[in-house]
Amino acid sequence: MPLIEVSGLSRHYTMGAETVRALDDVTLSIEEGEFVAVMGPSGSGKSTFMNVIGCLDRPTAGRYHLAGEEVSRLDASELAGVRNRRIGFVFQQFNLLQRASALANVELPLIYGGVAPADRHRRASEALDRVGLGDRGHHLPLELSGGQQQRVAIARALVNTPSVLLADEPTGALDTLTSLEIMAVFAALNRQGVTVLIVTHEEEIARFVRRVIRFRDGRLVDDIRQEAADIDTELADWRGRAQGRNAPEGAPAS
Amino acid sequence: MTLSDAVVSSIDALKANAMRSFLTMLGIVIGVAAVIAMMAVGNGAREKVNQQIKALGSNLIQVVPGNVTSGGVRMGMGQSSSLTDDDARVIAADVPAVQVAAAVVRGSGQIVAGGTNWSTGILGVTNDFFEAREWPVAHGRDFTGEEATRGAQVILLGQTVARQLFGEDDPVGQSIRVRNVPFTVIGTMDRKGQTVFGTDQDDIVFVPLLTARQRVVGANRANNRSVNQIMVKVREGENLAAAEAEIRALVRQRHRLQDGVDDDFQIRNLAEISATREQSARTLAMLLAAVAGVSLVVGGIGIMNIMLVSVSERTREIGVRMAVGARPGDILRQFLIEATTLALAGGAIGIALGLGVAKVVADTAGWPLLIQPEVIGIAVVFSAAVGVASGLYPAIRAARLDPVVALRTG
Ligand SMILES: Nc1ncnc2c1ncn2[C@@H]1O[C@H](COP(=O)(O)OP(=O)(O)OP(=O)(O)O)[C@@H](O)[C@H]1O
Ligand SMILES: [Mg+2]
Repeated sequence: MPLIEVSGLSRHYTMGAETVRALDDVTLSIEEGEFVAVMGPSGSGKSTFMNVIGCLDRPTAGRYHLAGEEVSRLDASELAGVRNRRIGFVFQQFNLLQRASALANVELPLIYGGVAPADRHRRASEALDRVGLGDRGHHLPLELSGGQQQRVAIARALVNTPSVLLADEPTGALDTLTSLEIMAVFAALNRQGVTVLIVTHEEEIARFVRRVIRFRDGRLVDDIRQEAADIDTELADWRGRAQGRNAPEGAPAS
Repeated sequence: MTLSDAVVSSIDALKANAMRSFLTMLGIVIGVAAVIAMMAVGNGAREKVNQQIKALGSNLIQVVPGNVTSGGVRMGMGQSSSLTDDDARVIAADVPAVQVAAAVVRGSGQIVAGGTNWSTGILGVTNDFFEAREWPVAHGRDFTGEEATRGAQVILLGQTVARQLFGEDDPVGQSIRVRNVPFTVIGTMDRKGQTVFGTDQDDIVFVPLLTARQRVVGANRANNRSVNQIMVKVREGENLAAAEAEIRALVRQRHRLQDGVDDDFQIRNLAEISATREQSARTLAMLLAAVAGVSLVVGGIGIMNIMLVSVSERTREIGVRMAVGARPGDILRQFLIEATTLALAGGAIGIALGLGVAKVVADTAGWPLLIQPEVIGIAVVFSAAVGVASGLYPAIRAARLDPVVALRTG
């Protein structure tokens, strides 16, 4: 049974007389443990696709089974439950709560999942360890670099052991080295069995995944599997070249 | 999300904007303070008035000669000589509602006992006066009929006078001089305490009415039947106002006053004097109630306004919370709790402020500080209700946000 199975999936916006087909008749399935890049030009429907897959948005037509469960007709409260248990989001703008420490940010999904406080702290610390930020739990987002903030966001997405990690342009706000480091975190998590979907504009980034799907005008136009380049080797190269300019950040745990 | 998680997160959010939160609370602070002060002032004033009415003796009507504008000439009350002890007798005899009507002659002077002297008020009265004022003799006896008709030189001392002249010694049977006239002390009066106006009622001596006229205060009076005051006690259960009207009609008739001519006397109802004070306390309480009502409404609107601002400022935060699994109900609850926390914090400050104000008012006015615990409870419930009511609309708006739209905002 595929983890994600959509058929005839559409998300149309009606704007006056006009209909915007943000997502149009998409049929696709993704198995557990896959590492997928979602690509396509601006406005092609990538974010819309991720939002529907992530149960933030509901399709206007079509069916969506997530781990065997039909989720496209659930109400807002039920969708929130599905997001909490099955989905981990990572955003381009990190979207951390600025007033809360890294640890508190990571705990947030557990709070809504009804996990007891002691358990929460332990699991949040473990998630921060997994992204190599075990020692930064008490820092506020503003006290962290962009790359570190994105790792906190990844830890937050991971903490509930979701079925799938959805990242919409997670490296869009980061420089090249930091982008590679974040990709290395995703690759490491994927090696541990986490299903990962990443939206990206950059072919450079898409080289590290094993499957690339492409959208154009809301339609799925391409779906290819490939040999993934080894992110850790590339990262080591980059670090070598960057030596002397930037102090390297701590390597992600794998 | 558990309730305690929600409360903690609400307090964090409010602390993040501490100044704004405080200013938002002000309306509630003032409203609740006004409610507390209002209740305390109302109760305190009522209690004080009750105490005073009790101290004066209930169902009392005072008839005093003269009127402020009598004959176009301003006169002090009790200075005209239009009222006589015959008036008192007739009031007692002809008005069925009247229990007793006691004629009073008033003076003052120096009293000497042994080497000690003391200046005090001297009242010439009959035993009826003690009945009217419900003021018994504590030690010794009151005047005999023979003493009253003869004008005997016997005297009853108020507690203060007795203490000043004799200390702990028993004054009964002792000889004293009042304005140089020798008197024999036949008793001391019960302690009466202070009047409405704070004067010491026990700083007084009593002599028979006739004695007062002949020996103490009567010598220079134009009409030697005149009295300074008639103290009327109306029977228990009788209507004070009706009795007052009957007395007025009777005295006017006795004084042969034509219709349209002003009274040459005044009738004062002690309960009315107290009622006036109670009325002013009630006015103050109403004013505070108005302030309280307006402040609570304004405070509620303030909270609603700031919560709406907060919801729009934190739209993205709401989106993030929804993305990680917050249900619409969680978001609703978070903002409701924030609004309620604001209102309750304001309420707590308001209770403290209100108690302070009530204490100052009570100390100034000299009445007891009476705070019923349920008033505090009502204030707490009120502020929570204001919080919930004013937080509801913003909270619903927050809960209804579309997560996709919320995440794109800001
Ligand atoms: N709320 C909306 N109302 C109307 N049209 C919308 C709405 N949201 C998205 N669209 C339209 O749907 C289409 C797909 O948008 P989407 O955000 O999915 O594109 P994208 O592939 O993520 O683009 P980008 O690479 O720029 O992020 C666009 O044409 C967009 O204008
Ligand atoms: Mg997009």
